[in-house]
This record gives sequence, structure tokens and C-alpha cells, in this order.
Amino acid sequence: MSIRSWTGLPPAVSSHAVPLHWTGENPFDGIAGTLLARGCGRSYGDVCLPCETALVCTPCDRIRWFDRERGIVRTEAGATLGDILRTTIPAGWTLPVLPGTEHVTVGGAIANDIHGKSHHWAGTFGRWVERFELIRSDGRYLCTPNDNAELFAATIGGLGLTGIVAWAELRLVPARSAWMATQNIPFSSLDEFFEIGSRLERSAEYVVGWCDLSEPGSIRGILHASSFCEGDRRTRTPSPRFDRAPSLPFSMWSRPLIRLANAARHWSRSQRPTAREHYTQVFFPLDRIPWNRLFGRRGFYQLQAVVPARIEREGIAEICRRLWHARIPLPLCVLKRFGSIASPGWLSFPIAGTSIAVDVPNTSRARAALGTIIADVARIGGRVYPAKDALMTAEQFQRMYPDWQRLDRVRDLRCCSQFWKRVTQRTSQ
Amino acid sequence: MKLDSILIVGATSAIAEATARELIGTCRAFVLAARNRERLDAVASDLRSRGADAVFTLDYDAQRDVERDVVADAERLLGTVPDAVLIAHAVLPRHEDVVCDAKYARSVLDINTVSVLVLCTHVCRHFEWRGSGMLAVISSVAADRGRRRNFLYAASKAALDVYLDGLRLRWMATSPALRVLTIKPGYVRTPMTAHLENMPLAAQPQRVGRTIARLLRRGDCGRRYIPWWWRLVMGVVRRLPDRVLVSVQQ
Repeated sequence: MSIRSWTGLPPAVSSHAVPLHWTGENPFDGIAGTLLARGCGRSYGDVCLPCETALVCTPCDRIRWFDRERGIVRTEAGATLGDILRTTIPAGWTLPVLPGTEHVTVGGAIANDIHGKSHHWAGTFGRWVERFELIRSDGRYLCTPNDNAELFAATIGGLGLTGIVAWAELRLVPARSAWMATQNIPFSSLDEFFEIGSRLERSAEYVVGWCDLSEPGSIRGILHASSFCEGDRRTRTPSPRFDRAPSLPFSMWSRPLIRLANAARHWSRSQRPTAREHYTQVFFPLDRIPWNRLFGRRGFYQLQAVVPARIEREGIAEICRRLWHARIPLPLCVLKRFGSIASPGWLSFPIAGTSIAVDVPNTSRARAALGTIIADVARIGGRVYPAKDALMTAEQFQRMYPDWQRLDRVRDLRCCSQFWKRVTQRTSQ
Repeated sequence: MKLDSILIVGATSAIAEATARELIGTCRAFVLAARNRERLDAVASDLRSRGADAVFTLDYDAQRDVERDVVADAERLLGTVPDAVLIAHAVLPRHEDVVCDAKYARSVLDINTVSVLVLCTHVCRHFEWRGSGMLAVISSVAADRGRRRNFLYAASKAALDVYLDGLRLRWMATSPALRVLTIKPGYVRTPMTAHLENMPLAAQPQRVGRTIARLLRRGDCGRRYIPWWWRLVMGVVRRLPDRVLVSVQQ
């Protein structure tokens, strides 16, 4: 069976896919060779591609326990975040950290220690994990920050290499309703972004900057700041997964088209300084279309890099200059400031600073430009997000994540991903 | 039709689980019966966490408890005969293992056919006494024609189809409040079919569960293929001459 990442890059691998239906079983017993737990396959690179067997955990999506008074939910690792919200929002609770799609499993969220628009107060997903059960080839471990603390820290952001998460207990935060009040505030330079952004973070729960880089030399965009507001608590049915949607034959993105689309988006949002939106519209805007199929059969790259706080302005500006210089189409660019809350995992991506994420159709020019940007980021002490990477070299990865050897020692030797093979293949020491 | 309470036999099957989830807003009380206690508890607590008001569980082993009146057990738990009964348990053997193994074949028939039909008679008695109720049984598209690699399973399901056809006619003649629904899913990706290598046109259990829940809410009566186009596919397969089928066989 062919197994691909969300972007189609690196190319799909052919391997067995074995479903896991019940967490009571130890999947290592029935499978020979290495395996990799896989959820919805929404990673942008090869962290979700197995070396031998993919253990598809999505059938294990039961919610084991939901404490409506204290806001704690215990779910099996295959449950998607959208599914959990459909249960918790009507009871007045939400997950504090939500990514850009609802089709992310709890297991995947832990393995990549995902972050969201709430990083300035909530930090990463792993900070809200109370405990989980980890199935390893030699047995089961209950991990909390106190018991099996080493496995706990290694598994959060551990890229699925420490074993299979059977279930996890997550802390929730109150949500007044299913509706959010959003402010859309335009900015027309990086300085404005930082200034308005830090002001908004003091008042709003979820802040993110959409950015238009289609005009070389000009950075403009809209800062979206949302908070839960009064309203009803009705949820919506899950958006389609588009797993079998056909790809366009070639990428639809050209620079003039993007310039036009961005201008339209910028204009329409600046016409609407405030809006009342359902939480699915705020958190999961791209779920409504098969976004990854618009980039054609060759797929696309997403680069997400964080620049440390002390040089964030110059760093982000330099990355933008590189992108302009390469003259590549940039259909989506997102800026997000990370707060100083420490991430609990050894290999967690966020550090205090500012992150930039760009989607780029796969061309040789794009690869070259992203390659130089990644090298720059490594040099200045920034980081590239493993969940969204397909281009990092082993040397760059090891420089950005000095704790990788700790993870390599703790990881289950029966777990392996294409990503890990790539970034640990040759050490330069 | 009233659908306040439901008894689901074989509740840990993927299709039954998906159906139960979809019924949470509709049904107030669930009685779940299954063999594996640990899994049964997992399904029950999932339904409770998702907002089901009352969830009861029953240990039921189709091979051991063939003649047991599970409906009466459910009645004891609920205080009333459930409005609907969904029978979802079955096994799908590896055909090569079962075709010459009398003991294995017998166990397959006991689980898929005998226990289900005996259970149906219990349902029949309780429902007819009350004068209303909805019986839904998960059969299979395979029952429409025996094929080279699954005819024992097909036969075990075909018996259900025929029985339910007759029961439907009996109830249609007595009362419109008595309904029989024969559910015929095509290939579905579940633990039961995990050993099949080749599953053309396979559906996800969530989708099948959603459809079954819709049919139950509507109080539907009849043979229903899920997805619906399996009716066309099986219409063709049923009419193919043996000589053709043996050459395209899978």
C-alpha cells in the first residue's frame, strides 16, 4: 500500500498498513520488523512515513472518560481533535492548543508537540497532557511528569519513536460557546506586525498573522485575534477528509494569481474589522478545500521556522528577502509570535521568538531557496519544525535539536520513521 | 417511530459502535451486549463520555448463550422492552480454513446464523406482545450469491435474509408499528475484514454507521444495501451465469 504525507513530499513510500482497533493489544507482538504509529497523515513531511509498517491508529478513537466539572478528557490516541471538540464544546470546554486542521489525532499532536494560535498563553499541546499510557515493545508504561518522567518528556515531541500512545489525558479550558469574536487588523510592515501583535496578545486568546509576500519588498497582512464569545454551543459535522480527492495535474499557483487572491483577501478582511465566527471557521479554515491537491502532482513544501526572540525582526526580514529573491509563488504565509513558555518535550519545536510558515509548490528553485533559508535558520540558532520538514540535512537537524541523541537512546528500537532515518544517518562528529 | 432505547447485540463490532455513536442524540438508553468485557466497557464509556444518558452492558457469548433471552435481560435493565434491537455480531472465517473443517464450520454457523435466528424469535415474542418495535439485523451483500471464496459465510447470512423477509411480511400484515430492517453492507474496513487482502469499493464503518442510524431513526423497513449502489452491483452479480463468474471470480 502506498503511504504518503500530506504534501506528497518526500515521495510516497510503499509499505504495509496495519490498523490498530483495540488498545488492549500490543501491536508489536503481531508485526515483524519496525513500525510507526500513524494517525491522519497530516504531517507535511516524512515524520509520518514508516520504514517498514505503518500502524494506523485512527480506529482507536474512543473517549474513555470526560469530566464535565473539571474539564479533563481521557481519549484513545486515534481520536481527532475535531472529534474531541464536538464532545467538549457543548459542555463548555475546549482544547487550549489547536492546529490549523481538525483532522489531527491526539497521538500525532503529542508526537509533534503541536502549537497553535494560543501559544502566547497556552504553550504547546504537551503542556496540557496530564498523563498517557505508552505501549513499547517490552511492555506498557504509564507516563506522567513524575512517573516515567523521562519517557514522558521524550514522547512529547518524540515523533512517535518512543512507542505507541494508547490513551492520553488532556486538560481543557473553558469555552463560553461555539462562537468566537474576531478582530481583523491590517499591518503593512514587520514593525507594525510586532507592535500590534504584542498588543493583541494581551487581550485575545488566539492570535495569528496572515501575511502577503507577493509584492517583493512589501510585507503586509492581517492580524486575526479571536476569543470565545457568547452564543450557542452547537457544533458542526466533521469537514470531509478529501483523502481520495484527485490531485490537479499541475500546481494552480502562479505569482499573478496569488497577487490577485491575496489582494482580494486583504481587502475583504480589512473591510470587516470585527466578525463573529464559528470556532471551526477560526481554527480550521483550510479544511473546507482539498488544499494539498491544489499544488499538483509534484506536491509542495511547507517551511516553518522559528527565529529566536533576540533577532526576530532581522531574522524574519532576512527570510522574506530570500523568498522574494527566489521569485517563487507563495500562496500561503503565516506569521506567529511564540511566547516564552517552555515546551515540555525534548524535541519540541517552539522557542521564544517568531515563526514563519510558507507553503511553496515543489520546483527546483523552491528547493534551492528553502535550502538556503534552512541553513540560515540553523546558523542563527533558530529551528525548523520536523513535522513540516522534508529538506533538512542531518547536520542542520542535529544542530537545531541538540537533545536528539537523548531521544535516540530512549526510543523504542522497533519504531522507525523515514524522517529519523534521514536526519540521523550520518553524524558529523 | 419511537426510538428511546436500543439493544445492540455485538456492540463491540466496528459497525455497531459507529451506529451507536450516531444514535446518541436520538436514543436515551443503550443496552450493549458483547462477549469481550474489556472492549464492551471501552465502547460503553465512549458512549457515556460523548453524552449518552444511560448505557448498560450485558455479557453475551453467541456460542455459549444461544438460547438466552437477551431481550428480557435488557428489559430488566431498562424497565421496558427496548424500542429497537440491532443484531450486529458475526464472524468472517478464512474460507480455506473452514471449507473442510466441520467443527469450525459449525461454530461459524452457530454464531452467524443459529444465535441470530434464535435471538430473533425472542425479539419477535417481546415485540409482538407489546405491539411495536424495530428489529434491525446486519446481514451482508455476500448473502445474495455464493461465491468461490466465501460461500459458507454467504450461506450463514443468506439464512438471515430469508428469515427476515418472512418476518417482515408477517409483521406488515399485523401492525405498522412492527418493523424489520435487513442491513446489507458491502465491504467495510473493520477488524472482521482485516485479513482480506482485496476489498474492492470498501467503505469506512463510520459511513455505514451513519446510514444505519438514519434508517433506524426513519423506522425504515426492508432490505437496505449500504452504500446503496451495492444493490446494483449485486443485481448484476446475481444474474451472471456460473461460467462467467468462475472466470472473474475473486
